[in-house]
Amino acid sequence: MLHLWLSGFQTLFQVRQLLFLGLGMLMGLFFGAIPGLGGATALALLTPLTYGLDPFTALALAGGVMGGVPMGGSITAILLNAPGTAPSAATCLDGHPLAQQGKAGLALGAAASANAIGGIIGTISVLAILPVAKDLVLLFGPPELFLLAVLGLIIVSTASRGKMLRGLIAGGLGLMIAFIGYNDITGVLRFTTGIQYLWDGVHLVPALIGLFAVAEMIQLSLKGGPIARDAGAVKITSMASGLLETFRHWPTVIRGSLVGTVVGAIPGVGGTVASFLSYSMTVRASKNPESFGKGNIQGVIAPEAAINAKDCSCLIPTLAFGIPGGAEMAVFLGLLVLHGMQPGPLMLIDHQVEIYGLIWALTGSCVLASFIGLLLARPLARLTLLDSQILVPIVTAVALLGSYAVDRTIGNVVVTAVFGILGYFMIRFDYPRITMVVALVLGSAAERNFHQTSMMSDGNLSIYLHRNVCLVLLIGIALLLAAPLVRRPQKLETAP
Amino acid sequence: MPIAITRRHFGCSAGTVLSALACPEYVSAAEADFPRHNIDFIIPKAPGGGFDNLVRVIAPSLEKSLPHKVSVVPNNIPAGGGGKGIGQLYRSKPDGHTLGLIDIPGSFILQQRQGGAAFDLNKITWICSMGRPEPYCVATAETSSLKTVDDLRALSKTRPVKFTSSGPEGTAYAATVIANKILGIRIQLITGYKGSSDFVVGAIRGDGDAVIAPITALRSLQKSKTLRIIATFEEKSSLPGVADATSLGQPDLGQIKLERLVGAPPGLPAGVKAILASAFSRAMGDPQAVTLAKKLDVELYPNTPDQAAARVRDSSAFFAKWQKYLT
Amino acid sequence: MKKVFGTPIVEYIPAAVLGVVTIVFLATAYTYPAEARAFPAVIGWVVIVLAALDIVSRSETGMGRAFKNALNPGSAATAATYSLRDQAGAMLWLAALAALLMAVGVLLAIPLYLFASLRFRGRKSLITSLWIAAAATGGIWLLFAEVLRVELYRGYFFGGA
Repeated sequence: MLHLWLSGFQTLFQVRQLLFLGLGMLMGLFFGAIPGLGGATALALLTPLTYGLDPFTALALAGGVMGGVPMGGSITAILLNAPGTAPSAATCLDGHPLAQQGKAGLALGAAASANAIGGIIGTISVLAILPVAKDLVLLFGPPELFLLAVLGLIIVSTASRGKMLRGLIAGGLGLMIAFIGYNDITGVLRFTTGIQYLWDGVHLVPALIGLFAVAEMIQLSLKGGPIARDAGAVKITSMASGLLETFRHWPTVIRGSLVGTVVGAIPGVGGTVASFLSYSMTVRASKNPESFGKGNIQGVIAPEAAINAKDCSCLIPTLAFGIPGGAEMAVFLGLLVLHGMQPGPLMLIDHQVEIYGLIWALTGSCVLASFIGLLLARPLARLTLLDSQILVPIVTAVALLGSYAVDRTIGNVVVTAVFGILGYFMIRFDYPRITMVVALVLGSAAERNFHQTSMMSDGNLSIYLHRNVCLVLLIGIALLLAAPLVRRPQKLETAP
Repeated sequence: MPIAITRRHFGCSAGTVLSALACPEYVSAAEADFPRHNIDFIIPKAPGGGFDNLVRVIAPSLEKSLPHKVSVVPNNIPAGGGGKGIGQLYRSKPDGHTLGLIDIPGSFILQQRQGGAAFDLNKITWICSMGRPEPYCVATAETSSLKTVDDLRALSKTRPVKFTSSGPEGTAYAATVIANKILGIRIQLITGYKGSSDFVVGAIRGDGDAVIAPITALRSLQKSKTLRIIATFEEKSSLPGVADATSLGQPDLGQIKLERLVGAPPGLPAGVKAILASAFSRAMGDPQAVTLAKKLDVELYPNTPDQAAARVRDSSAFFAKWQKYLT
Repeated sequence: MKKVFGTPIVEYIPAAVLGVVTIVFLATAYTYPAEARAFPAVIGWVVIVLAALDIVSRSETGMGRAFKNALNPGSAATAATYSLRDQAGAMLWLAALAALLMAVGVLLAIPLYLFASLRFRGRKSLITSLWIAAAATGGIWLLFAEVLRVELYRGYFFGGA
């Protein structure tokens, strides 16, 4: 085992490989930062250029891209509330309020270090579980995936304690939206009102760009002035303390990294769930849950650690069975195929050195990207001082264009605009957006897996009690639901 | 298809106004310097399956074989059971810059289920087949106690045998229903998986008792001892020791095949069709594509537009016989 | 502003709108086969109940306060409010950009929108507005069309599909 890790490492440690790794990392950082582009676009662009490269170099390049994307995504999430990639939408929740308070440097510093540490913990976990990867993937069938979706929805809706009713309403609306489109089970087209664009449902990335970036631009245009409310107080120099914050909140980093690793390894779930779940679990565990959403540094650290940890473990279902967890992995699958590597259980045996090389490349790139991110933090944080009358039109235009570029579909622009307006009203009337996002991601999967479970068991619900993983998940759900009853009643806000 | 016609007509007349040319000249000008820009190769399936692999294997060689240097960009549009991707192909400008890989007969079933509003396969311009018509196989998990078709039959006497499959569209679903009718096995389908890798893994995991899938989706899993192929629908089995259509006494099974055909929008000019057909034929003979295909266990199969159209007719005629069980 | 049960009427609007949307959603769901409507129907009914609870909890009545304390104690009174005119304006600018992009395509919509927005909304000078609009469009063209090779949408009126 150890010699395989080392030979994977050796393949990477050559000038050519390192050069391509660095190149990929820079591209990832850049593509991650622009809403709508992300790793999938970067990899799609690079794939044809790898024809002439040997598989090791091609994988170093791909690993570089995938490792660099999360840091790029966090930069714009924090500074502009524009999530560069879907998972970094969770970073917006507390990262942007910090930027508004003039603490962009602190948030970026914490994000960078959480990124790097999350990546390293993710790598260690994946190296440990790779030998049993096949069995791990096979543990999660429809019953487990259904309960997991329920668990995710409950964690997130109960995390917005104090706003449970409105959280549930936002989640309900998210589920209703998630049901739009072609139903895989019955082959029925639902709620599409004859619009072909909606056959595939409402696309997640355009919706997130709307809910966060565009909604924020509407707010900013109404408020006027720069993003940082008190321009005089902007402290871009506090990056070092941001770095230290991550070490101070080490349980948050560990929890985030583990959540990221586990969620990433489950086929078809993906990174957005990982980052939002990690965020919500941190809110739940906190003594001051009400400080989240207003600029709590742990609200930056938790999703960031999860995003990078999941990057490594996402490879497991992709490599072991060719089931990609998201768009980025899907394009990566194409790259593997081009280099004659057929994902499947045999790949884990036949191409071990390549796989370990790739994992090291991912880790190296993520640490490197964090470092570059830190270097860039200072000049980039100045964006928060820019006049909103210039910033708002440019960011709005780039946001809509980025959402078009996701899959070159003009319908995405409409989705982004509609969700922008919806997001603005959700802020205005105080409905949490986080439950809606998670419902959007998990809604149709929950439905599909429930029906599949019913088909497996002829409608007998006891199937959930006869499977070990299901039992663990059920216990988790029960504990979560019971927790508010056991917990001391929260201090009630007195009506003004 | 009133919408499609209006759109295309509109596109044509916009071109007319802009270039001050009549429609036919506009088209023939396009023929002369084809391809002018990147070719969008629509894959109406999720990434990671046989369809996706085929397009990615051929794309680089196709680029080399076209008269002008452009990129061939694989574009997965799996929505609506593939209906969205085929619909998009159908409505694209018929200038050769949009192609698609269509599964037959699954797409006929899809067209019928979705009311024929989005596309009409009988009007698609067929360019060529891409892979050899692929036989289906029945497989069970390596750990399963079901090791022969007779085991499945015996089980079906006590309860329906559960098969994992895609949604009600798609050739795999049709193959599962028809093959089991022929074999006399009562079945219940567990549907809704996202693609062939997904429902095959479902069977390995034990979501269902067995799975029916194209042979290339199963071969490497058998090699890795994850899954056991218990019968192939080939006339003569290519896998040693595995039952085939002949030994099962059901030659009709041999007709259940997956055709993967390259199609272009209706009304593709003959000149462009000829350029594409010859480019595909050269690309499929390109050593780079052949080596890559071999590594991935994919078999390339060049033929002419007329042969491809004939395959579509044969295949749809066979499946038409079984239609009543499919909708 | 007019108050109903001690709360400005506008505070009830979101839940009421959601209620109406959900009724339409449910009515549509019941046209589908049983298996296809099972989940949507359950969620639809739940959302209607939640929306009703939200309406009650926003009122300044005894029951409203009790519901709020039980289900929503942490909800802030509404965030900073702006005049209806300003809010409608902000949304119209957004809608105009989306409509322009669809109608005339990226390379016309972006400079038009940027220029108009800077000049008439931001009240920047003619030169500044022109300069920023041109530079941003150039940057976007360079990134998307040249580097990314994304075919920029040409607009419905210029043959975009």
